[in-house]
Amino acid sequence: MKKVGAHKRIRRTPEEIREAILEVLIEGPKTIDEIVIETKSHFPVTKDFIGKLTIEGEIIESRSEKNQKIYLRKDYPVFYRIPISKIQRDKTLAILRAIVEEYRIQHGEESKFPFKTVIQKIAVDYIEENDPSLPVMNFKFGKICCLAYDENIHSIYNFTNNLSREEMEKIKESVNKFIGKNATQAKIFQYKQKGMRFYELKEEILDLFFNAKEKSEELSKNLIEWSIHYPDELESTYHLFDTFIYCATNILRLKKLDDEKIKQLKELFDGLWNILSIDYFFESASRFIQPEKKSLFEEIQKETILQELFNMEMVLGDLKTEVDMIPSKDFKEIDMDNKTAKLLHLLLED
Amino acid sequence: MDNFLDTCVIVASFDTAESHHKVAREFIKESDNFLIAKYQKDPEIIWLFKRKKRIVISVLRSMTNEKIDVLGSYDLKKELRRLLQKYSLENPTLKNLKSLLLILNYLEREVRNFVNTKVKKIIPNCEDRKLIKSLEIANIPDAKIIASALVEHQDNPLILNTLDKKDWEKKKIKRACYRNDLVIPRINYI
Repeated sequence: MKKVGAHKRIRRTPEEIREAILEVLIEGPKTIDEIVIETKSHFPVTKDFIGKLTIEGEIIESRSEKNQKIYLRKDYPVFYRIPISKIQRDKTLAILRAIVEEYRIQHGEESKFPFKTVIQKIAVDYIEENDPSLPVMNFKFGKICCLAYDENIHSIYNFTNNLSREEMEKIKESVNKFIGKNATQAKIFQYKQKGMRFYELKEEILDLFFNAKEKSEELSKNLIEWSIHYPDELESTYHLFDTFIYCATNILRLKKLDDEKIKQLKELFDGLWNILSIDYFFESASRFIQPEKKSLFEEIQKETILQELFNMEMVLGDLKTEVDMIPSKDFKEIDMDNKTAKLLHLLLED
Repeated sequence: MDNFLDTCVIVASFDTAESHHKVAREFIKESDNFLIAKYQKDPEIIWLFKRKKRIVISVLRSMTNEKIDVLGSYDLKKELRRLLQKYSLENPTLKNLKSLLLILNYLEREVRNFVNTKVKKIIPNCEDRKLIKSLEIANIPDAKIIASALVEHQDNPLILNTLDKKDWEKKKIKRACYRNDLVIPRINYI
């Protein structure tokens, strides 16, 4: 087997070595062995420079994959720094750039940079209809691409990918759908599409929280509706979701619903949404990860979600205990018609 | 003497359509010193509601043209259909099922509240396989619960309260006590 770093090495100045390391990392996250091979440097020299670049903040030391550290550039543009192939990144960036250019032409405001949310929504619309092999993930505010685009990206990230005339035409069609929409309108437009009811309901629930005292019944119904639309992919966070729904629907049944409790529920709702959206991001991203990068991806996923999960489990667990201990007399009577009572009975009896 | 409760007694006291609802409700209101086995608190009661909610969600999803079997590995919808046929019930509406899902959350709280505030002791699970087997009860969870109560009864006299004449058959319980040289408890069918 060929030893790492046993290839023909090039004599270089320290500055050249630094540049070479940064250059190979443009491709994406890499282990030290991969960097040594691709920069054709000695292992100890490479390790030394990687250490310096890490201290300077130029590169980031990431999670270990099979006991190896992973390094990536600080400007690696992918959300959560998950490993997405250069081909996919470049193509996505080319689409995003074309969208910005087309949006400006269509919008008639040459100098104005469109809202980032709007660009993302247009890109998702285009990708899902024309290029479904490119990564699209579910996140906090709906579906997004794997990276964000801003005007300075050219200075830090080099990408070349020219779109065909046909692709440009399709981009124009997607841009047209979003012309005149601000970030919220673009988001809602996406939520109205098939398979996005979970997001739409989340918005409705959020609105109802501002009026929870007066609309406690409606809020409970929406929470139940929300659980019907819970995505299949999020099985690992379902226990948190279920506990939240359990606590919230019961608290909303209290005879005296005080502001403090509503505030607590709203905060938990935000916290829960944060975890669900992170989980959703990784679950939806997983199918776009190359097999050789899967274990790195899973490590990033685990590390990102684990602490959040632990904290939420603690808080929700405490709230559940609190809800369970409230005397039954403090709750409104359970009101159900005969048919529902019969259904309940047959479910419980079996 | 302490009252050991079968889970079905607790559930029936909250299930208004159950034929023994009133008597179970009265029993729970008027008696005290309740005991249950650890196995009943966790996982039996937890799973009972989790499973029922999954069935309802699965049916609701199939009715709203979403994918079915949301969070289960098998067809829960079929299970509800079977139940509906068994009880000759007409198909429930979306509204019925959504309301049912909400009520399952309320009911789960009531049951958990009862266990947390009215049950004075949670007895350890019986690990004696020989005793569990000697009960000759096909329903393994029930066999484990009864065995736990029998072990507890040797130091702390209990009355075993149940609605389930089939699985909690006196003859079988007595026979298991003889075989294992255990004092026989009183069994009360509420």
